[in-house]
Amino acid sequence: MTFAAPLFLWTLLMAIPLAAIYLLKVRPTRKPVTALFLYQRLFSERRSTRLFKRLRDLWSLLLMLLALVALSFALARPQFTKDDRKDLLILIDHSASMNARDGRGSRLDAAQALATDIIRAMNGRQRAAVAAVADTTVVLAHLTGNPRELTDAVAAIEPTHRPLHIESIASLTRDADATARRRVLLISDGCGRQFELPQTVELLTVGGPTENVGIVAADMQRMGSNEWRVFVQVLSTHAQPIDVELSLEHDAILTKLVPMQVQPGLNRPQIHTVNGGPGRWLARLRVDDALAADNEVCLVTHPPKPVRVRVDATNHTFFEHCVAAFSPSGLLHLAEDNPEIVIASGTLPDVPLALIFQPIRSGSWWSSVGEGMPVAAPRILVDDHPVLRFLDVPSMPFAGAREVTLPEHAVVIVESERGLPLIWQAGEPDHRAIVVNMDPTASEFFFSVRFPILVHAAVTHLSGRREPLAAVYATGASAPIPGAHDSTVTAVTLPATTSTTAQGTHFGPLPETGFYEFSNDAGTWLVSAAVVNPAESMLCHEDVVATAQPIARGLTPHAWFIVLAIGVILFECLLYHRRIVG
Amino acid sequence: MLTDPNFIRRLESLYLLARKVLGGSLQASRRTVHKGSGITFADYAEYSFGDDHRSIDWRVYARLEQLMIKMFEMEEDMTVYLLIDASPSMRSKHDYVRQLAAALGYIALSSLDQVAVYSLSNQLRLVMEPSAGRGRILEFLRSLEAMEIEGVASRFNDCARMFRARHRKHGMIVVLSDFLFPDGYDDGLRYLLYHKHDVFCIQAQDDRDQRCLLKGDVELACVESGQRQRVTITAREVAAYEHTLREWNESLRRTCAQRGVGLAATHTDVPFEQVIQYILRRGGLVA
Repeated sequence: MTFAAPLFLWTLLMAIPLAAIYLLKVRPTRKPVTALFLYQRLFSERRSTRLFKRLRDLWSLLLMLLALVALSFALARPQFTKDDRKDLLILIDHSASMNARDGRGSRLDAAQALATDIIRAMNGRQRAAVAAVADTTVVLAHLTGNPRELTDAVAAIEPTHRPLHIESIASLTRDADATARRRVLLISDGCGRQFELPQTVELLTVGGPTENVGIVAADMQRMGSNEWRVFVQVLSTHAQPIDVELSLEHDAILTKLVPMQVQPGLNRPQIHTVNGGPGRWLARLRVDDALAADNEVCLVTHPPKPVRVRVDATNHTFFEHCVAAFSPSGLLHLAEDNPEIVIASGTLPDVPLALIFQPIRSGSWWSSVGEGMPVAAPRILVDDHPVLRFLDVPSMPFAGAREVTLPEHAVVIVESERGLPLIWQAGEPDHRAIVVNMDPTASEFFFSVRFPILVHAAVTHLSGRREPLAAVYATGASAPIPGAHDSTVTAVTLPATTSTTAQGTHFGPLPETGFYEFSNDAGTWLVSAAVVNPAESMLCHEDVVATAQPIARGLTPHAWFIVLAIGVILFECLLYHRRIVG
Repeated sequence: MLTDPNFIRRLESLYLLARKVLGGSLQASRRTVHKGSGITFADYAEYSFGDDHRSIDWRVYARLEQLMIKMFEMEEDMTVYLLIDASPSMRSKHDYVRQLAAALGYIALSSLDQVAVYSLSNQLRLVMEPSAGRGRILEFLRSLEAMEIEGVASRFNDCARMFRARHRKHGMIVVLSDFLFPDGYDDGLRYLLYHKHDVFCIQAQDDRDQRCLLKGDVELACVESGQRQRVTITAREVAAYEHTLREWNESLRRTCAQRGVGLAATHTDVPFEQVIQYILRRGGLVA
C-alpha cells in the first residue's frame, strides 16, 4: 500500500498529546455527598458491570486513537499497489426510455447513482471519463482522476427524448490501443434500435420489467375538405390487455375520444377519422404508466396545395379517374383552365410541362419516332429518380414502344435491353416533359397498380413539389425545411420556446418532443416531433443482459477510513455522553 | 447572626405565639399540682415557723389577726435538651438547625425552663450547661452562634448512649439532624427514651440530601469519612437513589411512631418560623 499524500501520516504524532489529554480528561470529577452509604446500597446491586466500567476508559482511549489513525490514513489517501485497475470510460444512456419511472426515481437517476458509485470507488490511481449517449455521444468529462469533476459531469446529464443509437459510441471504441488501456462501461436499460454492443463495451443494466403503453407510430392524412384520418399504432408491455382512452385534440380542443383495448406487445394500427382544419394536433393516451413521453404525439397537418392537371388524351377517362383519385388528399386536381401540367397520350401538347405517353410525330422532347420495338427487359439508368419511386420497373410492360431519337440534353431514365429509351426527361427547366414510351392501352397499363403511382410521381416531379412534410418526425431524426437550399438560414423556434437557427435544407436531429416552427424567406412551417419509437417504448428487452465484468463500487479507501473514523467518534461520543451525562 | 436584634425579635414573636397557643410553654401538659412558689394563687395555709414571711397575707392578718400565708401552684423544673447534629454532613443545614434550636431554646428559657445544648458528631459535646431564665437567652444564643461543624462522622447511637449515662432526670430531648446516619438511628432513639425522657426529632434535609443532582461518571466522596467511590449515575440511578431516600425517611417516621417519639420533617427551604408554628399548633413537642 502506498500513499498519495504521505506527509499527512505525521498527524499520527497527535496520538501522544491525545492520550495525555484523554487520560487527564477521563478522571471523573469528585462530588461530595452526605449520604454515601445510600449510594453504596445502590451500586452494590450492580457489580456485574464493574469490569466493563473499569475498562471503559481504556476502550475510549483506544477508540480515539483508532479514529486518529483512520483520519490520518484518510488524509494520506492510501493506494493499493497491487490494484492495477484500468481507466474507465463511463457512458450513460440518457435516451427517452431512461425517463421511465423505476422505483423511486427514473432509470437515468439510477444510472447516475451507479456511475457515481463507480467513480467513488476509484482507487486514486485510476482515471475516468464520462459521456452521455443517445443518438449522439457527448463527452462531458475527459480522462481525469478528480472524482468531483467526474461526479459533476454525471450530475449534469439531463434526460432527453432522443432514441439510443448504439453506433454513436463506435468512434469511442475503435482505437485498439486505447481499448486495451481502459474499460468502456455503458450504463443503459438496453432499449435501443439494434442494440448490439461492440465487444469492447461492457454493459451495466438499470431498470427492469415495467408496465408501459406508448404510441410507437402515428400519421395524419387529409381525406376531404375538412376530414382527416389519424393513423396510430400502440405498444404495450402489460401482460394482459388493458383499456385506455385515446384523445385527439386540435389546437388544444378535444375533437375525439376513442376507447381502446390495448393488447400486450405491438398492436395493429388503428385509423380514426376526425374533422378539423390544418394546424396542431395532439394524440394522447390517457394512461398513467412508467414512461410519459410516449403517451403523447404531436401532429401537424398542412393545408393542401394540389397540382392542377389537365388531361389531353384519346382515352382520357382512365387518366381523369387517376387524377381524381388523388384529389381528396389534395395532391392532384383536374383543371381545364390554366393547368400546371398536361397529361397527354397519343397527342402532342403545346404546354411548358407535360407527362406524355405514347409519343407520336416529332416534338420538342424527341426528334423522330420510328417503328415499334419489343421490350423484354427494361433497365434503370438513373437510380433513385423521383419518377421511379415505388415503381417496379423490370415488371412493367412497355408494349407499343417505338424507336425514337432524343434531343441532345434528354436524360434517359429507363431503356430497353437494346438501348431503346423507355422513360426519359427532356427540355429546359421551365419547359420540359416526362415521356413514357409505351401504349398504355396495348400494355393494359391502366389496370396496373403502377399506373397511378407513375402518374403521381411524374406529375409531382414536374411540378417541382417537394415531398410534403410528415405529420410527425421521430425525435433524433432530421426534418426537411421547405423552400430551403444549402445556403438558406432558417429561424427555428423549439418546443421550449427557445430559438435557434439552422442552415441548409434540414434541421436536426430534433432534440425534444413538441412543435417546431421554421421561418425563412419562403414562408413559415410547423413541424412536430415525438418519441414514436418501439425500441424506446418497450422499456424491457429480455435479450439484453449485463455483460460488465466485476467492478468496484461504493467508496474509495480513504472515504472508508473517514467513515470508520466518524463511526468510531460517534461511538466514543456515546460513551462520553454516558460518562458525562449519565 | 443568632444574636442579631432582628432575629431576636422574630424569636420573641414566636414566644408570644407559644404563650397564646400553649400558655407559654413548649410542653403544654407538664404543669403540676404541687403547690409552692409560683405566680398562680392556689390556697391559704396557716403560718408556721420557717415559712417565707414574704408570703404572709397581711390583709387577712389585719382582719382576722391570724397569720396566714398564700399558697401558689408550683411549676415543675423542666429541662429541655437540644441535641444538635454538628457532623460534617450538616454543613449545608447547620445554620438552619441552629435557627430552629434558637427558637425552641428561646421559648423554653422565656418559659423559665432549663435549657441545655449538646452537639452531636462522632462524640457528644456539651455546648451550654443547663440554664434557666430569660437572662440566659443571650448566652444561649451566643453559644449556638459559636457552635461549629466538628468531628469526622455521625455516630448518633454512641452519642445517645453517652447522653443516657449523663442525664437520668426526666426532661425533654429535641434532636435536630438530617437523620442520615450510616449506623442507623434506632438504637440511639432507644437510648434517649431509656430514662423516660420526652423525645422529639426534627429532621432537616436539603436538596443535596433528597435529590441526586449528579450525572455521568463521578467520584463520590463522603463528606464525613472521606471514603470515595467511582460510579456512573444515569437516570436509573437517580430514581433509585431518591426511592431509597424516601424509604429511609419513611422508616424513620415509622420508628418514631412506634416508639412514641415526635417527628417533624422539614426542608431547609421552609422558613424556620413556619416549622416552629407547625410544632406549636400541633400541641407542642409531644409525640
